[in-house]
Amino acid sequence: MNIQARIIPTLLIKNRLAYVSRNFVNCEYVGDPINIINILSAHCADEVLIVDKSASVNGCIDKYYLGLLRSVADFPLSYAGGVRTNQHVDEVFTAGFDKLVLSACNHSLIKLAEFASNKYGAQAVALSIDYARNEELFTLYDPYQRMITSINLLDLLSVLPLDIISDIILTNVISTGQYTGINTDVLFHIDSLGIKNPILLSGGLRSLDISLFHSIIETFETFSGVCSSTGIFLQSNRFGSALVSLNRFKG
Amino acid sequence: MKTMKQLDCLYELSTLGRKIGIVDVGVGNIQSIFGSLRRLGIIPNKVTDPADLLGISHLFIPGVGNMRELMTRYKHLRLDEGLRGFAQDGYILGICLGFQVLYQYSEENQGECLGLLEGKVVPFSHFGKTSTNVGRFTVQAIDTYNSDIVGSKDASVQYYFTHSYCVPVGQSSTHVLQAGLSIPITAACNHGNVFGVQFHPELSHASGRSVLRNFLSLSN
Repeated sequence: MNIQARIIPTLLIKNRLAYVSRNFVNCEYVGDPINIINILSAHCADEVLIVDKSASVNGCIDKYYLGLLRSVADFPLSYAGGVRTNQHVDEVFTAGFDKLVLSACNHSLIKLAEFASNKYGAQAVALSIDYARNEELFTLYDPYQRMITSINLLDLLSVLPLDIISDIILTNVISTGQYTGINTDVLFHIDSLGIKNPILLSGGLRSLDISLFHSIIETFETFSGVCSSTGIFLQSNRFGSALVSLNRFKG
Repeated sequence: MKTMKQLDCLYELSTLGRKIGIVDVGVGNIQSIFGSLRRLGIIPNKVTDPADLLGISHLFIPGVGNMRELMTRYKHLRLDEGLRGFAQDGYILGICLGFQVLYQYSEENQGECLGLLEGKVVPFSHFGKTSTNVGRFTVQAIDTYNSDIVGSKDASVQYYFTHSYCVPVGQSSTHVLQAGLSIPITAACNHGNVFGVQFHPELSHASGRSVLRNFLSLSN
């Protein structure tokens, strides 16, 4: 058996340029997305998540540009941003993307998840849940209102239609972009629900800590990997060294 | 020593005269496989109805989709009959959902599929600890697997899998390659000139390109 954690770089795109952000603000330009995808292709990246902030603002999918990104990538591409209608869902998959990531905090997006799952399969749909931790409380963060709600993470997970999706992406908004390390406490917190979906953790990734990933997988069989902003790869010339670490981890 | 570019040019020359097709019924990710074939110097033809199959030598059935939606469209376009007829002479490579649709029955649509391979498709959750199998895994040969298109000797070669349904090993007499997991699911299968892979060669870097090249090199 050779279960390995998936390392999924996250590319935040605005107006066809790539940025990194801290706590969803203070965006810093990091490069041309096509160049970055080319570099990641050369380094045999596992998967990449594209988050298009412009699509959220403009209310339309930049399908031509998504097609360009697809044409240079020889690894799976996931997409998030601005998907509001069934047509948007079709445009993402027609552009050649393999997975659609939708926010779990919006009921209308859950309907879109059902549509996408019925047409493109459960493996092609993922739900993203932003949460904040306050001592023993794990509560939902609303990315649209940009505020921490009083909704309990467990309560939300227990009512979501998890059988129609594949991955659940749990993002710790407090540590996003802070390089404080991935917080695995949330896995203990939701363990009682017996969720069978692959779970990806996001927020705070500091390094590709091989021993940490192995220990998480041994404890939680549903742990599937991490999503990280490109900052971990791109800032301070860490891009190359991080991927070398990844290859060492794989080897 | 020849450079990769020279090798790709040679490869392009070797496939001249062959007509490569990709089934496109609006379900399935055809852009990924299109991109991979373009990088190999091949411009494939879209197959949207049985008439498009004329002259095709090698046909890809792409992955990503829902079986119920796929079979509904095949039947509406009469491609189910067309593909069964094509399989008698032409080479077929089914990828992921395109692999599963080659079998007789799927629990995803609670109904029949193309029936070109013996066996049935069941939810991955029947076997796995998770509902979806996602990640890069090695493969290993069992029984009499002897396909030319997927190698299994190199234990370090990995392929990208993402699927919620699977074909258990041991229910079919066809040649089978098992995924490198603790649970016995079929990673690749072939029967005559019908080939299928549960993983995505178009998303599997160099190891995937090798699978595509090997498939396109097949000839009578």
